[in-house]
Amino acid sequence: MRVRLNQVGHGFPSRPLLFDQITRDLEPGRVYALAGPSGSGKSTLLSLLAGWAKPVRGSITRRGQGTTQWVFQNPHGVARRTVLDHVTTPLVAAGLNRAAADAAGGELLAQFGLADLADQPFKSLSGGEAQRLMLARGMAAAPGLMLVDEPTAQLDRQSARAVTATLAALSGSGAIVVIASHDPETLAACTDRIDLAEHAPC
Amino acid sequence: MLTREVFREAGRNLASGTSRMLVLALVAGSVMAGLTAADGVGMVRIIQADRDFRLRAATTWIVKAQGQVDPAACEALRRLAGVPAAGARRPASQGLTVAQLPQNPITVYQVTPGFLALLPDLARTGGAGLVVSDQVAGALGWRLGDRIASADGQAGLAGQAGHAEVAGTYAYPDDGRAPGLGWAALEPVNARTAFDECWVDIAPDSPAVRALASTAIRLGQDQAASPEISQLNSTLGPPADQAKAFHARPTLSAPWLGAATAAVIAATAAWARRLELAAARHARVPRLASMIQFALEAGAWLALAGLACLPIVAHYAVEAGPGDGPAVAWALARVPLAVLAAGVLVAFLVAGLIREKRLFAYFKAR
Ligand SMILES: Nc1ncnc2c1ncn2[C@@H]1O[C@H](COP(=O)(O)OP(=O)(O)O)[C@@H](O)[C@H]1O
Ligand SMILES: [Mg+2]
Repeated sequence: MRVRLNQVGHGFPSRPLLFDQITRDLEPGRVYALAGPSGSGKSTLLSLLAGWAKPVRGSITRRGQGTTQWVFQNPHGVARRTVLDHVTTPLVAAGLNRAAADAAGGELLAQFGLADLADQPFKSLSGGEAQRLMLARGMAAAPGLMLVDEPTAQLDRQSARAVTATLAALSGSGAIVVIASHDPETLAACTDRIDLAEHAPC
Repeated sequence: MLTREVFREAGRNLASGTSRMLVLALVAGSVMAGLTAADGVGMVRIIQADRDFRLRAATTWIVKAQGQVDPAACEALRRLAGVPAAGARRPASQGLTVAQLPQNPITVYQVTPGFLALLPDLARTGGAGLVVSDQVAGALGWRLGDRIASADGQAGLAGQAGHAEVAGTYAYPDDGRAPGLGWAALEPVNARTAFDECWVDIAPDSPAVRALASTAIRLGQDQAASPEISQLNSTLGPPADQAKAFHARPTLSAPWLGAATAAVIAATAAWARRLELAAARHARVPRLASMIQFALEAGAWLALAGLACLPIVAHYAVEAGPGDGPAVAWALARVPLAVLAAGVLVAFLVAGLIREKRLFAYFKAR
């Protein structure tokens, strides 16, 4: 997928714009860090990229194949279903039979360091493990655009590092990955950067 | 998504406890069982009231026309649909005084043969003689086939000097029916001459048959005055329409109430899993697949709840008796069936209402 932002500006009624004049081409296979302090509009920009809201200024065009996947700050799963079940859901939904889905799901779990936990229920995972499972599940949905919102904000340093270490696995997929964060270590793991501080409205 | 995988997802949700099958089956089962039992009680009460009405002879009507009842016409009423028994009665020329109880003469009636079928607990030898009430037989220690010797050597039976046989006994309980046959003996006769009363059992009640009974039994030309007709037992009031009562019973709406409750339970269960549903939609699980999967899961816990209702349905069907049992079972089965249908349908629909955007709304809300 390709996404083009053309002089994008956005904000909420009766308030000043959060950001303005963002012009960028987002390319497949790259991992963008969306930087900015809390309240600067990172989540808002992600929702614009997802197409769930329209910018008040400028335009965003999305072209090409693939789904849009979200990974949120708080991992959410089905407490009693297994780790493997979570990652095979999008594969089975896409029409794969169980054997093929289990095989592909197992590979994804290995990439995100979860191979040993395949048969564990979701509720037994730590925060960092759950967050990595969310990333693996997002990748299983064949994303063209992957939007990751504050993936490490809720985690301790060690878990955050384990998540950050797997972010590299996202780049090889051919998806555009955008990671909103205000954590320097997380941002450092990305190949490109969009800094909202540089786009503050005049 | 492969159909087989939709079933497998439902199966895994049930097996893992994600569907909360046991809790929901318990809740739905309690509602189903309560409503089924309530309707069962209501139905059996109507059936028993009807049975009681019959047992206590409130369906037996007496047409009185002094010296005007044609015994053949009276007996012929039996050929009408809804007339299980009919027969005529008149006092015998004399009572029966037995040696053991000279102070208590027994009233003797002549009756047509069909009259005996109007009496409960009838036992007969098949021979000729008097059919006496249990009370008489008990007081005098008479058994079937015993000889009856009257105090004056006359047993009151035409052509039988001095003695007669106990040809039968009948019960005449003190349950509100008009007294008269409690301390009595009946002499079955095949007379063509006029009687005073025609007794006719009309069940189920029919005003048309009643009207027919009161006119068809007349001897002679005097059709002007209409004969008196009354219930043998009027203490239970006039006959009620059982079918009407059945369709007007207060628990008639039990299936609807069950369906409404099931709808609420199923909707709540689906709504509680909205985040999971929204995530499935985000993972590109087809909406219809989610809807079918939720309907299957609801079907499982509702069926489990329904199984718990089977003994209740069976219980009231048995209590209703072999005649009404199947109708009661079917009427009661409508409660669990309505609950099942409503629950599955609502689970299906609510699962379809949940949109992918809910996921984002949920995360913005926290
Ligand atoms: N739907 C909305 N209506 C009004 N204000 C909103 C809405 N969504 C977000 N905001 C505001 O926009 C600002 C930026 O929010 P957000 O994009 O969540 O920032 P970030 O993700 O960078 O922390 C905040 O001040 C927030 O209160
Ligand atoms: Mg945010």
